[in-house]
Amino acid sequence: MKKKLLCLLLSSTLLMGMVGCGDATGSAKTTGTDDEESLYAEDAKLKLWGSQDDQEYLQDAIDSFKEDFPEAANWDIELAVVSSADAKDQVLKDTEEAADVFEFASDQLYSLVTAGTLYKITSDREDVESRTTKTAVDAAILDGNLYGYPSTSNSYIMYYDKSKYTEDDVKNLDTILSKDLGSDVNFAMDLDNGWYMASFFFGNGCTLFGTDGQDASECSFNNENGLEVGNYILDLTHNKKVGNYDDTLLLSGFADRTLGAAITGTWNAVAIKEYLGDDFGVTTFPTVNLAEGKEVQPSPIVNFNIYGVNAQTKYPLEAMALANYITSEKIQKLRFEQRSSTPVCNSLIEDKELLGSNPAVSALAEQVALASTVQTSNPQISNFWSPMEAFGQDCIAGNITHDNMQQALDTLVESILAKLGE
Amino acid sequence: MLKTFKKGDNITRLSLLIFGLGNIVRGQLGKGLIFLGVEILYIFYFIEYGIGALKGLFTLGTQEQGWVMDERKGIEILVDGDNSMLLLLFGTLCLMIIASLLIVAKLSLESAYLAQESIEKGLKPVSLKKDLSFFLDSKVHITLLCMPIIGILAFSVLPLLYMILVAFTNYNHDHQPPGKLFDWVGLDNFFVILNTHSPLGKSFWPILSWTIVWAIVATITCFLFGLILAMWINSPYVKIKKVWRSILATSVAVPQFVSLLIIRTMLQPEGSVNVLLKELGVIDNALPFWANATWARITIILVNLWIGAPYTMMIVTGILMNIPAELYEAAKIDGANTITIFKKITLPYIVFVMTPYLITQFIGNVNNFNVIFLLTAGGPSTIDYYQAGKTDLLVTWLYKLTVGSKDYCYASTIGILVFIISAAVSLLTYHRTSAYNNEEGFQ
Repeated sequence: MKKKLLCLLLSSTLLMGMVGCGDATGSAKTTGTDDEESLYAEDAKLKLWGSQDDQEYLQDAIDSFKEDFPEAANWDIELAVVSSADAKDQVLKDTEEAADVFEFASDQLYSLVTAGTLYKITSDREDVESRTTKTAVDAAILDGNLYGYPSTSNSYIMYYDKSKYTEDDVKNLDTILSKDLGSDVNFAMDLDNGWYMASFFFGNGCTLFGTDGQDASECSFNNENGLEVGNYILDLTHNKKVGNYDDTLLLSGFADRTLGAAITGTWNAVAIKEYLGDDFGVTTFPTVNLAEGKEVQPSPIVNFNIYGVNAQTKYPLEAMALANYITSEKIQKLRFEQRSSTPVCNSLIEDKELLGSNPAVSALAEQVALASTVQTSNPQISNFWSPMEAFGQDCIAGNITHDNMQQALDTLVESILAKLGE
Repeated sequence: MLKTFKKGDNITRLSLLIFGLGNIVRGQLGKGLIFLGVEILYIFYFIEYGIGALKGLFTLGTQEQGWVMDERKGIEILVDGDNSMLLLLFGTLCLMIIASLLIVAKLSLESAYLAQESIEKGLKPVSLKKDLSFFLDSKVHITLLCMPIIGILAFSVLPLLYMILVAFTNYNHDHQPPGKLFDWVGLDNFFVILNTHSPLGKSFWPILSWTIVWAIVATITCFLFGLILAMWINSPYVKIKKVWRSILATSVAVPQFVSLLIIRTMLQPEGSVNVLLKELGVIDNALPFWANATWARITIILVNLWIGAPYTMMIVTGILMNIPAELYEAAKIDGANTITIFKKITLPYIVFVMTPYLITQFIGNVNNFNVIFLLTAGGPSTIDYYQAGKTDLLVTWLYKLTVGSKDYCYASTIGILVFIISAAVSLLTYHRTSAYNNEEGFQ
């Protein structure tokens, strides 16, 4: 009997939910016919997600949105903390409860789209395409549809301590490593993280998922060039002057001045600048000597942060207006100034004077021009990180040696291309 | 039930279809109407939701989410499709409701037969009021148990059934509701995981063997070490026993996850242990506590000892203090030495009491998520495994497949396999223990 009641209760809540939804869309339509002029609801309630560090700039952006966009004056826009890296997990956990507008990293695009959690951007598409760099727009496109508003690009460059290295020293990684810094670590990067390691492979002409990044059955990390890179990485992991540092270790290395140079993203620029003060140096990824007389420029992966509109939102038009605004030239500039984020807006990137005010961002822009690889949105990429991490850790642990490198790379490629259930 | 059905007259038999009929006809109007009301509610549920839910359970959805152009707004608007996950959940609920219907039908039949019996004996069937009063008297156990059982059914059994069923679908990262539908695939997931040539199978077998090695070694080391500690404290030569016992038990007082996370940090390449050893000049390179698979496995077992042994120590101390002193005296008079006393008296006593505890410890270690996840998170990763590392247990791998790559169907399959292994091991071993076979033997 009680069970029965429980079930009735459950089913009726479900039914009520459906009826509720129906009502909402219904009433929206009727108000629409009454008042043809405004497409926007007057009292829209929107939730916006951004990372902890971005809260301040986002609040400023919302305030200025309400000023510049009169329809939004009475909207209730709530700001909450979910970083672009966690967006996928949080959104997929419960799409209905997720924010109406949220920032996500471009590599999550496929998962979010397949789960049907992103609105297609149709009416604003021309706007977005005209103001944003092509590579950034491409990162938000899947099967010809645009699914978000690119806001900033992420990649990594080299930071160094000017008291330890000159500008000439830092042009080549082997020069950096040959210098004797006593007990200090010469060079650090995250050596068991595919995002950083892949730059060596790409720099030496290896490709992931074909030349266009869309052929999920192809990865050439195990060809002759890949073998050179594999051996180089193995040497790096066993070099005492090289630290396998994640962000935390790397920052503390710069903080107590025991680190010469390190590869990390622009998001760390502010902190490193603070630690190094006048000795703060930043430049492009150094070249590496893979073989006798073969100097190669590594090609870092670039990905983008994109603002997406939740497919379950009750206020799609309003959410799109907000997302469009916070990725506009004005707000990208604000974000650049407040957060040292690299803009993806053509007019801002071409503004050399503006970029010059931030050495890290201009170094990144230089790097992108010199050599960079846009991270593929092919779904198979979700299989890429784990094997690459494993490859790094196997090198560190000594399970991979120069003798079995070819075999290890073959296994690596096999794991990256593996399809479940076959 | 069959017996009741045979003995009952036609009206009683009909009560199986029309609930409460027997009661209404034989003067128990109130009771009969309650039965009938319940049946009407059931019929209402099935017409209104149940049939749809069953159909949904069968198809798991046919209509995918789509987009329709809204001319006025100028954008495409989302049109909800079927949500396979909800269909599976409500379908499972419907199956449970059908099961409850059968139970109510049985109750109706029995109640009708009781009424028939009373009439045949020339008695007046009990009134509703009296019937209800039984629930506070001879049937008070039903009253007391009804709430907890409903709770268990709703919050344990239903989710459990739902998650078991997921193992027979393709609910993986390519089939995520609400955007995509998933469907029944039969036993495919089991074949994929058990197949030694598939990427998942290549990881499953090595991870399974490490899981078993870990569970056996961790259980035995904790037991032996705790036993030695307890024997040592209990020996007559040790003074201030309480102080020693308290000192050794302090590791229990610190929350487990705190100890684990601190030890994890201490043993990092740049952690305090390595830095200290380097400063002292003992080593040149950092010791690869977490970077090398063998090192990591041994370190985990040693750290687990730190966390687990004090529990065994306390239990064994309790047992040792309970062994009658006369036994030891008698043995000594007979000229037995310490080793013989230990082998003939102490050990059998301890083993008798501890075997069931050891079995639960073993199963607990098979699923020891905390220690592994907080110490190494499964690392060091290896390219030989799919999304897993060298110290991953099946349960932490399962976690990675669920939370990391959203491959729920494979995770569920692994969960079922782990259950089968744990259940088989514990049943087989438990039935062989003397605690089970020879309960009277204690003393």
